[in-house]
Amino acid sequence: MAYGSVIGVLLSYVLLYKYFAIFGAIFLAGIIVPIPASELLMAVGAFAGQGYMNFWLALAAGLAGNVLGDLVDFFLARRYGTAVLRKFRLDKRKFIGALEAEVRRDAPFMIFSTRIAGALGPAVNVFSGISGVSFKKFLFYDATGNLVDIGGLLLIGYAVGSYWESFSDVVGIIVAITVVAIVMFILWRISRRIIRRGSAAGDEAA
Amino acid sequence: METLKRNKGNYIKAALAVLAAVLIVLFILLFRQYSDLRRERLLNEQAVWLSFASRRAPLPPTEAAIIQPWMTFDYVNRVFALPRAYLQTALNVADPRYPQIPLYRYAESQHLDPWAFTDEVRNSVKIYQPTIQ
Repeated sequence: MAYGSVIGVLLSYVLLYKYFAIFGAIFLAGIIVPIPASELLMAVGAFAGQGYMNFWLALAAGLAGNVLGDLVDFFLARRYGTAVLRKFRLDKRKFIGALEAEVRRDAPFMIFSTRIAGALGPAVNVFSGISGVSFKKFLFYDATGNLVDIGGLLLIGYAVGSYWESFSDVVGIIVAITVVAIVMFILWRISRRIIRRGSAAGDEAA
Repeated sequence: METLKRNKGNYIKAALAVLAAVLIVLFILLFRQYSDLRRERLLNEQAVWLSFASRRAPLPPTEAAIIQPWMTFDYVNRVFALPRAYLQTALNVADPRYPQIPLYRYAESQHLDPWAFTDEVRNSVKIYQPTIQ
């Protein structure tokens, strides 16, 4: 790994400033900044396994950072989301409307599952804010999803120790598989709804 | 209206087919990575158990190759159970930030090549002989 790479610089900060650095990096990743959070958390798990850090404090720092980052997206979208959509005339786009409806209809699944599929997280945070998902519901599913995600990555790092780098590619592929599977599931649900609506319209016409 | 819905349904079906193909490619990549890990003997029951059981034990000097430029002196000291002053003395480190400074940052401050300096650290770790009490 190149020392000047994003992950190299982040890891050196984690070794220097420990939990503050974990909180800061995961907070930025939670908002939308493209930080290799999975790799970082696996490394932190390995540091905890080697006794260089406390596992529970690392988990708490990561969880707090991610939840706060997600809440920033959620509240910004709730406050300014509709106005921004209107300004760029995105509110009339059917695709945006369908996504908004999907998030509103099945908020628990959408929020929980996209915590594990990191790349989709910020988008769902924004749509949750715009579509008026309640704060309590968002917080609950966001925190539980992040607990599973962050806890899982830390545990993998904890288990594989110094070899975490060799396993980070595998974890990256598993995360990509999860993202694709979730997108497929959402599309399948939308298509099922279209078919159902079509058959209901057919029945009415008959 | 009915045609519009049918078109939308077709687009979704096409997207699902593309995503299914992507999923298959990802599973092939996963299998290849898994095979690589098994070949490197990093993924078998014994290796995982040994790694799990001995995780808190210091790494032996023979594992010095894992040292990277982003690591701090403090971290290297900890994982290889080196005395705090060992690397400082062996590498003539006079920086007051020692041991809380990454290897690459120290190397840059001394106008050294970070990778060459990391190799020096690795060599110093490799030749470390713990004093038997």
